[in-house]
Amino acid sequence: MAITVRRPNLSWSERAYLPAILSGMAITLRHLKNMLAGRTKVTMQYPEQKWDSYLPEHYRGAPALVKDERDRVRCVACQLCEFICPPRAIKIVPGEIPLGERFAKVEKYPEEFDIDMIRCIYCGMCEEVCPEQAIFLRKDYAITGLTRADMVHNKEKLIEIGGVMHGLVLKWNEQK
Amino acid sequence: MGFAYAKIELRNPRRADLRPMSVQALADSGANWSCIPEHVRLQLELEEAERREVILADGTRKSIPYVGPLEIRFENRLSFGGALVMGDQVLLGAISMEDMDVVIEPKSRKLSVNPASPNVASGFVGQTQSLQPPQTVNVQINGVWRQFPKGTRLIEACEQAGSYVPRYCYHKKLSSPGNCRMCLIEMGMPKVGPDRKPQLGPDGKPEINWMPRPQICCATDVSEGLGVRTHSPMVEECRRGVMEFLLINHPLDCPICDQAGECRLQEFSVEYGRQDSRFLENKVKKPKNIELGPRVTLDDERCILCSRCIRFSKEIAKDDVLGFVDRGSFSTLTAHPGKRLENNYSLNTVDICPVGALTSSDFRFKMRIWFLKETKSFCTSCATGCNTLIGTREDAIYRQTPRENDAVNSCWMCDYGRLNFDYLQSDRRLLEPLVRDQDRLQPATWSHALQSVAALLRPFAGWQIAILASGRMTNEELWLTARLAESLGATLIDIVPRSGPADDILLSADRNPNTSGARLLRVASESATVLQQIKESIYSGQVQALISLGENPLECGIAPEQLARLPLYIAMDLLSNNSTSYASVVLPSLGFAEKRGSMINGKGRLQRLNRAVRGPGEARDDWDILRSLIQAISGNASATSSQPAGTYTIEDVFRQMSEAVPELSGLTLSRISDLGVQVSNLDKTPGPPGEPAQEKVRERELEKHPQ
Repeated sequence: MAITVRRPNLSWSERAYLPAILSGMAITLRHLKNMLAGRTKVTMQYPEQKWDSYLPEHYRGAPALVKDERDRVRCVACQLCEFICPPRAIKIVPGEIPLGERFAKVEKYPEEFDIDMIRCIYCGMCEEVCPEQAIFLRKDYAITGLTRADMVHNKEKLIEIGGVMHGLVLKWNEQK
Repeated sequence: MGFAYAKIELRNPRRADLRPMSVQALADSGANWSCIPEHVRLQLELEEAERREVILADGTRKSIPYVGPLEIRFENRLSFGGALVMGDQVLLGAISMEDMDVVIEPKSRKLSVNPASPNVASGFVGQTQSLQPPQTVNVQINGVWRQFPKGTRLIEACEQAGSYVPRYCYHKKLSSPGNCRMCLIEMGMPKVGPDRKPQLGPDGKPEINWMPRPQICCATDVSEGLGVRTHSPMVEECRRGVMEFLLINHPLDCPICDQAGECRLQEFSVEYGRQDSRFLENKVKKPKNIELGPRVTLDDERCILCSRCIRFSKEIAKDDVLGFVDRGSFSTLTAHPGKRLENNYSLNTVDICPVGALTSSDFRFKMRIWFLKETKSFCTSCATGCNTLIGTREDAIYRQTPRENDAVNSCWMCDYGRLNFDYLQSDRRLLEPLVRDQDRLQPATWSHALQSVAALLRPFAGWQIAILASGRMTNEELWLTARLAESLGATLIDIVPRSGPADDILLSADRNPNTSGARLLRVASESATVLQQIKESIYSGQVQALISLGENPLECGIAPEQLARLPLYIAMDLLSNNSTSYASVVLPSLGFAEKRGSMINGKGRLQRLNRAVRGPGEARDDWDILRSLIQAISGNASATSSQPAGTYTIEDVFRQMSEAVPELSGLTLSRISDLGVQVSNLDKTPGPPGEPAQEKVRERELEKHPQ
């Protein structure tokens, strides 16, 4: 269906073009002046220089699995992140923790946990949906690889990125 | 008790030529049966029907001939019956007197016609249910008066009226213990005035006298004038309270619980519960991860003590192994000491468990249920054909659950059938057609494989070819198999019977799902006589070519060396087995969850399989293989040789079949309802538990054709 777009009604100064050309010239001249004075700040010499320390608290980088201070990978393979993930980047194979292991009480753990970083859109829904505070978007943004397989973060890689997080709710305690 | 003398007339209704006897009889209401002396029997030439044991007044027992039929007349009354031959006088018993509606007048010691009905004998008769008009009662639900048949459970009535009442313990196929208290509602009876008549409101309907405290509606039947409120503030407060109590000891481990997503506790907590917990104490610890049986895992902390599983085991599975021990908040579900929940219906307890207390050990932690696509299908492990839902994700089957169909399986299915789907995902699946090339089976294209079959079969005459069909094939496949036999001119065609122990609940002794279909389509012979003939003909060397369709000839009594000696053996199967290595051509086909098609269960119900997953590799739909084979053999492109129109879809196959088979006329594959259609009346498989025997009426429940 064709949509008719109405042309804006231009004022006489806009129709004359000259004021717009002059204001553009002014900006160019300002930049020229700053450059000659050595006051430019826009370019950072990446990757020698990195802007990691300037990243805001809410920055959404690569998703990762965290451990708590008891050294337990907090994920219980509930697969809610797999369900919510808009680009379907997450794939989980759940498994059962054998009886007698330290966290056998939790019963379930991810046998495999893959995030395809080619698919990931860093939306943070996995972090938001996680009922176990197990997946967080960390500040890693430079995800590189030579093959498609390299770009899939497996469980080990995700735990490595995630690291240990303190101060989380220790839900699977003896009281429960 | 009393006795009197009366003049009665006796006749033999079978012998109009004999004259009636008029005798003075002793009417004795203390005796059940009438008695006649031997000479009366001789006079009327009464025949002995059987011998009966009688107890005399002194307690001795005697065996006496019982003769009949005997016609007894007294005044204007008449009775047909029998009599015992004993004594020396005619004795009129209570049965005959009741039958004639006569009474003994104790005062005058006279037998007389019942004065209450002097002209016509009257009495009570039992009426069968179907003759009675259904009795309905008026019930007010949330301010609206509705009618329900007498005996309807109030909880069902509310549901029918559109106000679902939450429930945990109530299950419509089980008894109602009323122990979860979730279905509390406000109830009232009509207000009765001083004249003992219901007081009518301004609308002319009775006014309701509401009871001050809530009632459970799962254990109450509807009654006349009953008033119900399902969403009043008191009811909502009650539900919130019950939810809070149910949740105080619940572990809230939804992230690891297999029930999450289909958990009543989750659903009702959202709908009727409060957001937060006010419980500060420690939760009660109970056993977790208990193997209740080989297929069921129990988590007692999640259990809300609804007792559905206990009632199911007792009432449906007839294996009363579960029960509660301890009291109060320490109440725990457990199996009786030394027993396990290992009956063949144990997984139904998992289905009916409203929470995640009972979970299937097979399905445990495999897949979250919100990923599962559920396809309506039915179980093909025996001739019962229990209706199922197949839960799949990305072409992998994760579970089968029963689907309610009161004409087949009620709400249940057996564990054997439920777990019998692993073979579809086995490593032994045949993935591509194989053609023998210099003593080795080599992968081939479909067209090459089908052409090879046609070419290999060409030298053989019809009498040299035997076809081993399967009772696991759908009707469409069996129909095409019969057409294949026709185009080959083969007459030796039969299915392989498969049987196992049956139970009285659902499992049928006939383990072929479609024996009835094979009989209807005349592929199966009665008591496998043709199969025997096939075996003998292979032994004698008459049969030179064997086509086996989904059956292993080695398992039905054909020796490996005989199979090896056969000049031509063609196998169409799902799985490679010890016989496929002898084949000249192997054609990979699809399993029950991978194809559409119809089957007729042991009771003559036509049901439809729906495709839940795609077949693996290059395996093709069985009907497609057979259709292409017939084309390759008969050498024309117009599908089956006997049918003019083309066969392009399975619907076409069904249409051709329905035109030829009167039992299926008027049906199409899509018109078979999800609950099946009764096409013939057979009575082999046990009916659904707790249901009356199915009426022997040909019924047609046609679902509207989609679109």
